[in-house]
Amino acid sequence: MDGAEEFMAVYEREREAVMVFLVRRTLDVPVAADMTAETFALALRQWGQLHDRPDEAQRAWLFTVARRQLSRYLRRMRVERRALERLGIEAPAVSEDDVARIEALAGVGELRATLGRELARLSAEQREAVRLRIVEERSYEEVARALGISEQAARARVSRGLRTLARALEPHRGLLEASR
Amino acid sequence: MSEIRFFEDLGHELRRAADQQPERRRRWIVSASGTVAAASAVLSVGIVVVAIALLHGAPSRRGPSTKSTPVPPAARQLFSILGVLRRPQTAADRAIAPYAPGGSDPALVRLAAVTPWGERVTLAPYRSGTSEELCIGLVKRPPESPTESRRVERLARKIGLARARLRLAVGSGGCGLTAPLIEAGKATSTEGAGREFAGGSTAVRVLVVVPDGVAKVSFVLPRQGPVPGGPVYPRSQSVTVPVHDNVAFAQINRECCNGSLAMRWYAGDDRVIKVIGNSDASNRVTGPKPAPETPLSRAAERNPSTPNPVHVVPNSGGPNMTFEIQWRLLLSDADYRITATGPNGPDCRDARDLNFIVGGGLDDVRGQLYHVTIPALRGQSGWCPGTYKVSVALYDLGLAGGLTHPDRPFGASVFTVRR
Repeated sequence: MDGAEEFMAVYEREREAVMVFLVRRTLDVPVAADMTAETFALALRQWGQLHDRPDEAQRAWLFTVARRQLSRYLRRMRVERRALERLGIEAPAVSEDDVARIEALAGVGELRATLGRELARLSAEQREAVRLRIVEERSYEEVARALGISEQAARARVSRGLRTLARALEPHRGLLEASR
Repeated sequence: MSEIRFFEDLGHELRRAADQQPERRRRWIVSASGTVAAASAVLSVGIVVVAIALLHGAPSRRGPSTKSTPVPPAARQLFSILGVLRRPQTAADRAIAPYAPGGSDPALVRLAAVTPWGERVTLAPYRSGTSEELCIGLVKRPPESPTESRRVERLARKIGLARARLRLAVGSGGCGLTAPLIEAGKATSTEGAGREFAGGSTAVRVLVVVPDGVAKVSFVLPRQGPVPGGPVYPRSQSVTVPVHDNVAFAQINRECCNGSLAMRWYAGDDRVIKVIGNSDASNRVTGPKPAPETPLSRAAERNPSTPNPVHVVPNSGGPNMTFEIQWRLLLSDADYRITATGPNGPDCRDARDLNFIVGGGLDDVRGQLYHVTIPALRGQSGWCPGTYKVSVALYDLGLAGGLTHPDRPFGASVFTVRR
């Protein structure tokens, strides 16, 4: 078996787990698909250091990359495509059918419903602060200005809102972690 | 889930890219030889053969043996993850071999490192039942000369100890390490090296055996609260050291590892390839304990509007003065709403800027003096002149309970901004 075959075997083995991991954290299949493609493109570029590691180590490497992609995405709201571009790979489009199948695979329906429900339960002040900071990704200074409060207060509001959401999602931790 | 078209399409793209990378494929083969000097794809098979031969006592300096005796899988694992065991045995290895702990074959012992504090770190694989295990030996004295060796032999006979037992008396270490344990970061040694106190020491020597591919190790020493006679470490500390011959070590001037040792393992390109233990948790400062309950704190638990003095410091100042609002916390982990009345103005910071929520920090526990700094903002003309009244009310009971706001203020104070 040559290097390409070995790499494709790893791709076949891990692709669903990586995709599910990213979908459950972004609740956005096209974004998760782009990150999945970039993750495997990076794996292909680094295959020289990866190919002789045990399966668990390869998997850990892939998830580390996926987690970093996720964190960059949450900071910049943009998926990196450097490895894809360097390899000349165009990330395939995700069809409507694929979106439905992947969402079912990741079981995001329940998560999304819970999140929506818990967001609605937040106080109006906290919900708005969380929306500005997390969804619109505005700086705390901007959140404070938009809400007419101090930056310290904006931080407290966002922090409190996220803590409440985290508590509400605690029973779903098993679902979130199931992809690992 | 082959019906997901995206996976198929991405697979075709990746396959095409992989097939167009002939140079990269050659690099894969080279890197397959790991730390072994000769770079050939065949050699990776050879490594296993050498390992098998070594484990069965075949001559180690003659290269791969053609003898193919079956070995337990654990043996192959140990040799395949530790390059130091695969390298040829040197004179230094042979000199230290008699001191290696356990019943290891001297031909397999390797001197991995000599620490700055003079310990010779030896790695000695041995067979235990059907599995292959490793001893880390920390030999504290230099190898014996042949004359000294004979003297040790005589002494051992005289005092009725096996020579191996006597050898152990000059060093320390640990055995029973299998490949999975090494890969899990369990092959560690910690030893106090400073002033002793209540079961601890003010300095520590840490050592870990790591698998191939780990270039650097960060030891993360956790924060530590008060220990009788011992120092307090309000923050965790990371110490990063390079790996040589599968071993990393450091002497660190603080108490360590009252529990498991947290580490981060880095590859040659500085990627974190493994995190062992909860280094984030060890970095978290949990803050002070709440002060004992008082009649006032119990009253505040029943009624959050129970009066509690609030101060603004200073109570007067110019337009660019930084004011601080202070009060003694009666509850833990609560949030507070600060509101104010006073002058309003279009071009200056006014009472509307004193309407916010604070608290919820880990240090915000009963008995602490809570303070909020309110600076005059840059780019504005400072505070509007006049007298402000600041009120503080409980907003949220935090993790202890649900939302309680709005509540009546428990305290208020005034401050004046002069022209």
